[in-house]
Amino acid sequence: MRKASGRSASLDLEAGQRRAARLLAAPALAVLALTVVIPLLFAIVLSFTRYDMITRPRWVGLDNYRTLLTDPVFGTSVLSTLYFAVGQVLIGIVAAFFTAMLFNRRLAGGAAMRTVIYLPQAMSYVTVALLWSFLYDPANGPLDAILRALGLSPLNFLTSTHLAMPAIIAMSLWRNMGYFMIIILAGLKAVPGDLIEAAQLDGAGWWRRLAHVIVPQMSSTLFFVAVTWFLGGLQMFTQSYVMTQGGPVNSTRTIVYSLYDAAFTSLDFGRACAVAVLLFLAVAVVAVPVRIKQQLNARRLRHAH
Amino acid sequence: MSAASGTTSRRTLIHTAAAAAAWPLASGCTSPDPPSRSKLRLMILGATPQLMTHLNAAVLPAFHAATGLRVELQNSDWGSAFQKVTTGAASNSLADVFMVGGIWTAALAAKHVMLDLTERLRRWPDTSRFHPAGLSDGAYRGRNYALPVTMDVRTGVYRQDLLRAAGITALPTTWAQFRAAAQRLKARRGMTTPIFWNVDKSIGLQQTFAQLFLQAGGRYWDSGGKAAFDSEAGHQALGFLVATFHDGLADVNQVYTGNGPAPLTSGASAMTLNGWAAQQNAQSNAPHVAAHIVAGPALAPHPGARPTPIAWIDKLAIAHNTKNPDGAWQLLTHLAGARQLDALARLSGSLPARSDLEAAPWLTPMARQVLANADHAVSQPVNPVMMQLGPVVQALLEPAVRGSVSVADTLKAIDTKVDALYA
Repeated sequence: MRKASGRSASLDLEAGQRRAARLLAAPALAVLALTVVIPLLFAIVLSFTRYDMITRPRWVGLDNYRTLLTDPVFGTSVLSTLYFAVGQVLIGIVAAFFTAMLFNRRLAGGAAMRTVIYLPQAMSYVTVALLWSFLYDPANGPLDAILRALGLSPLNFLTSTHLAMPAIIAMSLWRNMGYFMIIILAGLKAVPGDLIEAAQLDGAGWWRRLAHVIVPQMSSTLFFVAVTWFLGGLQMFTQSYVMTQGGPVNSTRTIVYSLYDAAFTSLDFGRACAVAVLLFLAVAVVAVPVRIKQQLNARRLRHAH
Repeated sequence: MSAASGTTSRRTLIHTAAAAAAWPLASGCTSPDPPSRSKLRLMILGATPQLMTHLNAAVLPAFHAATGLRVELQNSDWGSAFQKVTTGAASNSLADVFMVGGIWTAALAAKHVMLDLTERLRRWPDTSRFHPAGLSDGAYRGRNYALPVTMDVRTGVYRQDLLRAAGITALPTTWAQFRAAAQRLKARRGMTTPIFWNVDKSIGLQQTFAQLFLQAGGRYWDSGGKAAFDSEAGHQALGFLVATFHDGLADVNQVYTGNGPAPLTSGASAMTLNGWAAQQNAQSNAPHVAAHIVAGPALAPHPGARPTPIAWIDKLAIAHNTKNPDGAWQLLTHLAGARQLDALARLSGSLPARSDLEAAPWLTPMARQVLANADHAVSQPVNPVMMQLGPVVQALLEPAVRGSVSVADTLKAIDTKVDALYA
């Protein structure tokens, strides 16, 4: 009897704790619902309408999606976005990794150099984009002035359909690399030194230690960096808006630029919401499997312990 | 007892936390500064610091003294201005009096963002002082929604010192002469890009094409409402434009970013279709060049054709949802009165849209040359899809001037896209 009442008291306590937890989480959940869930549901509904923000929305069914999926300009913007996101991540991870490897050694002035590399992250995208627009300016910019001084032909960084996106990728790498380099550096510092020493004693050279010890130990960190950087890349807008306005010939027009253009140039918020929903689904396609993998890994670790 | 008091304290804590979280949310939902009849808001676009100082220190206090109405001044850049006006209209927070860009009239009037000013303008004695092109640019479907305040008239603009150095003494009056002058500059001065076609990151190329198209007598839409770019005028205009790029008289890579010296100021080019803005750029970046920048006569596509200058007009409008339409009208007419408009144009580096200010002493000889074209200038069509049309046409013109799509295919594609804007 006493045992049963003891269990009941314990259950009551647990229920009370759960209730308290829910109540404590409620304000945060309410804010999340107000700022994320409700706008998302609102956007999904609006994506089935023609809506200019001023007059009442008109239901158009799947028209916005049909228009988008058959529009070659939107197709170009999807490819440009992938080009940017994949290009930035591939080059960025390699550059950030080897920079982090450099800073993982004892270097004179290493802390100062780390700060310098991280510093662009503190600047707003608009500022960085304006700065780099000046660097790339064919008439007044220093890069082409240097090329001309060397007797070379100036490069049309932002007006060539082939160079504009690489030029934006270079600028974005400059801005973002420091942040991801710091994360990779933290991962490198967590690699057990005895593992590397053991590999060294076994006769593994620098390359084999890197490929078979350091990189596998860093896989979670590198995976995290790749996914977050890629997802950030899918949402690229400011660079394109400030530096090229999506040109030349739509070569730097991204998905989010299309969204902005639909909303604020065409005043077609229904189509803009359809773009947003498609982008949300694309991000979900990348993020959900990653999340599931993380959960499975965590569960496996719990079982192993 | 202790358990009970513990529960109470947790509840108190939770309630306090919930109240603390709810307070900023609730307070955020109330308007911090509700509109009132004794206070107006004025939104100016791209105002210079000098203009802002003048408005805040002289114009608005004088208006307050005369009417008892206080005015809150807002300034926005042109780049995000249309977005701010539309979101302001949607959220019912648009300034009572606001500036309207060149092709905004129909887009905003069709959505009932602006107050109909037709009757007020009919009664206002100063209305006849404004250039007709400016007034019609503020009208949509026979009703007036905006009053012109400043303008620029686009015509042939030249670096006269560079033209003279190439032996060109008479300014072109036709496209053929314009092209011949460019060829001569290239041959005699070795100038790589004699013509600057206003290519920028935005829709400068489309605006240039629009000028040539209108000069060639083109109409954007036929009588049945179908897009009519694929027409004789369209072929003439785009053919002429594309040929200058193809023949190395203009360059797609010569892009003006909006800062620093424009190509005419730097001397990289010597000819363009522009207005007083070209000299203003020189005045800001290389004052010794400013006097060499001159406006020529409006161009005609061929001898005997009617020359057509194109007007770009900024206007003032009143928000449809203003709480005080009479006060807003008082403010609008105060700003558009001769004395205030003279200062407004001078301090914003624009030309006044009133014909009685054409003799203002601060206007340079070039400004007068430009204004001389104002009376027979035409503006872009007033149509609700003009805001979308610009970027759509720009995107299709870019491959054409790069030589990757033919003139005929480009014009067909423009018609298809423009018709789709209506769909």
